[in-house]
Amino acid sequence: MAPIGKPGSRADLLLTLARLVLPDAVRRSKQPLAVAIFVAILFLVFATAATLGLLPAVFAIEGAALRRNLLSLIACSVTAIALLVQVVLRVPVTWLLDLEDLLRLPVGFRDLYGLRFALSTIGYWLPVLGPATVYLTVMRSGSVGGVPITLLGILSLVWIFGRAAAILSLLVNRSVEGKLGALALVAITAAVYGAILLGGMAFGGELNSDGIVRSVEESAVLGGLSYTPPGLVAGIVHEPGPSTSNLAKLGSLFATLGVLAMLENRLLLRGYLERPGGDRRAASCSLPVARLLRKAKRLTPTGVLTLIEIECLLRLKPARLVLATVLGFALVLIPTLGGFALGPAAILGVFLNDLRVSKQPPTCYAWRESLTLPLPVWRVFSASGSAVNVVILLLFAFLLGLASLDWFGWPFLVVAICLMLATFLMATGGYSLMQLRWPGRNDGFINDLDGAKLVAALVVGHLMIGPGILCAVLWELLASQRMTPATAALIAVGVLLLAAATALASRRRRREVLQARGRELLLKDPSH
Amino acid sequence: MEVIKAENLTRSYGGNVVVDGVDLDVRAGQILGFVGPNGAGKTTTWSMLTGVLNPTSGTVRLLGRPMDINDTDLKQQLGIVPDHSVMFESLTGEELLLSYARIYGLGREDAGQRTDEALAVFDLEDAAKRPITTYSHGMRKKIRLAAATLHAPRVLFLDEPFEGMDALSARTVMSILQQMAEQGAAIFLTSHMLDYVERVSTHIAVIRDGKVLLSCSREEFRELPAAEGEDGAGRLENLILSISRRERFSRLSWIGNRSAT
Repeated sequence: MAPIGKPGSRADLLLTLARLVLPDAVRRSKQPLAVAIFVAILFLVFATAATLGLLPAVFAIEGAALRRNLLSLIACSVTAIALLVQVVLRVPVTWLLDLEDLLRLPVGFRDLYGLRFALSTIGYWLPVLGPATVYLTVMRSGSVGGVPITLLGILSLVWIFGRAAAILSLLVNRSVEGKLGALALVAITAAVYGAILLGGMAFGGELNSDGIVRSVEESAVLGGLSYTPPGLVAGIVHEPGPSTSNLAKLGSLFATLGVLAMLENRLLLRGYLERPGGDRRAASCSLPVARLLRKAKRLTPTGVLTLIEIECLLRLKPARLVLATVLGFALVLIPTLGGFALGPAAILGVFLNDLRVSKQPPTCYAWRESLTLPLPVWRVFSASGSAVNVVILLLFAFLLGLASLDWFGWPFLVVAICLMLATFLMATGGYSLMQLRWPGRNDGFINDLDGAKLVAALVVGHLMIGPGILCAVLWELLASQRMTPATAALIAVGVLLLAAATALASRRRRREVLQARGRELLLKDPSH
Repeated sequence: MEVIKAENLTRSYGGNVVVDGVDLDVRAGQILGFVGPNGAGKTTTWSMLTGVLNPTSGTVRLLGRPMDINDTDLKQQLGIVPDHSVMFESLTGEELLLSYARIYGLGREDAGQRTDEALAVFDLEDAAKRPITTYSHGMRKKIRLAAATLHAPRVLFLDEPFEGMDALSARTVMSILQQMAEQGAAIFLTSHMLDYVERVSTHIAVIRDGKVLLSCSREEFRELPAAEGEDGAGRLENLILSISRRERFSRLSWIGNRSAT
């Protein structure tokens, strides 16, 4: 390792520790370093593209009020989403404060605390927000004298963000259960949706709705947001330079930072300083179903069946893909900003899909596992393969976000909803039945050559994509006016009824199996 | 000089007093073996002495200064070997030692030289380039011990240093501890390996139910009258057995029944 500075100095010590903690953090995330770097670079590329596409377009808007409010909106949205994602994902703050080992080294609690929070808050956002910071400092400082003002403004906002994230994390530092785990998915989806929206706006070039333009321009709420820390920074870059008003804004930012730092130190952190070893409990979250199962005192076969069906959707990769597709269909039908809705649908789908990608468990095994091993939130993002899939989907969603899709019309909405429900029912019915028939662990077809199982998987898999294909065919027939909407709706309802009948038959059969074999089937050791 | 001094050290969790008014005094050149049955309060005391747990009442002074977790100058003179796993397990043994040397302010040349020497003495040369995750329990203990002694600390705290070690490694560790004590270091160790503790310690303290029952030099300890029914095992082991609130020779009823039939 190359030397950093004077050995034993505080700076040298912190840098050495940072170099030790970083690989440790990467290792804890169980993400290969190469993947982490790859993802960071891709985020950097996306962020640079979005920055260069969006910000010059915003600064090119002629109306000052619209420009100012739009900047405030962007700054506040990005900060709020980042904060939400940070807090939700970092809720197991015990790791941040579990400093017992590190505290034995010649380093103080506050230094370690700061180091860990810096690495786990600001560090994550560098590739995402770094390009915008560089762009604003270089291109939106007005003059050389304006550079320190802009830079200090952005840095103080970053610091405020870190303090706010720390305070919120300290406040909600408790074991996380299913709701927050689900919220993490939503938050991530919202964050990516926001990014796609902004990117799409950037490449789309303009806001094409007069109503939206007017509401942004005249909004009192957005005017009020300009007094928040992100809004103040937006104000600085809007009219850059060493002016009195910018110095006042900078002073306000510093004052906010001071208040937050005092709050963090005096009110919250002091409680942790009393027990410097920290709380060693590992905070974790579990899926809602697992929580229900753990708390359930008595489970009826029907109740178990329902839970299995939910588990199927959450845990089985093909079923999750179907659910993702369903969500994709659902969201794309919203006639808002063209194809933007496809983005979050795809991202949500990928998270659902990758939730347990490394496991491939049949429900019985998954259920047994979920009873004993709560799923930590971060596993959602560290499952092998998920990072690459996220990136691919992000790219896919980003490209789709650029496309403008027309409103499909009400008849097709009915058709699509019917077919979505049909897909859903087939997925649950088919895969649930498979779980009861083959309750052992699925080691893949190569290691587990069971012809019947293979055929069943293929049939069920293809059955599930049937409604999707039919949906596309009906859309084509409707668009070319070779079929009336009423006929299409009738066909769709028919498919839905057929799927419902299949699901009911499947459910009846599963109930019989469960009544005959009981819960031990579900808790059977998967190794046997 | 009093290097480790604890006065009326008490720690309670809720109403449960785990350590109750412990007084300790370890001087330069002394090795204090701190022993007791499971749950006696050894690790809690150890944690308070090393600063990672604040006492409910009482004080800890190290090298004449109050123990403060933020006193980095003081911590620079301590070496601490905890019972549980090694930090930064993704690093190789060599990287860990070089990093620790850096953290404790050693120059590059000194760091490299001491790292090589420590790896050789603790018989870790072959494993030096391997991640610590691949180490056995005993090897992890040794690498942790090597890391804690690289900077020649004036105070050394060890929690179960001999656990998982083979006889040769344990003998090496004992030899190093004795050398450090001869050089003026004060050493505080807790262990269940009573034979080793009896051999290496200059002083012995016995704790039970959070209270120190006995604190004396090794010589004084050996002069204590033998306990009733004492067999050929070590004196310390007999003492711990005698203060443990359990039957000395317990047996499982069903195993007894089986052998009877």
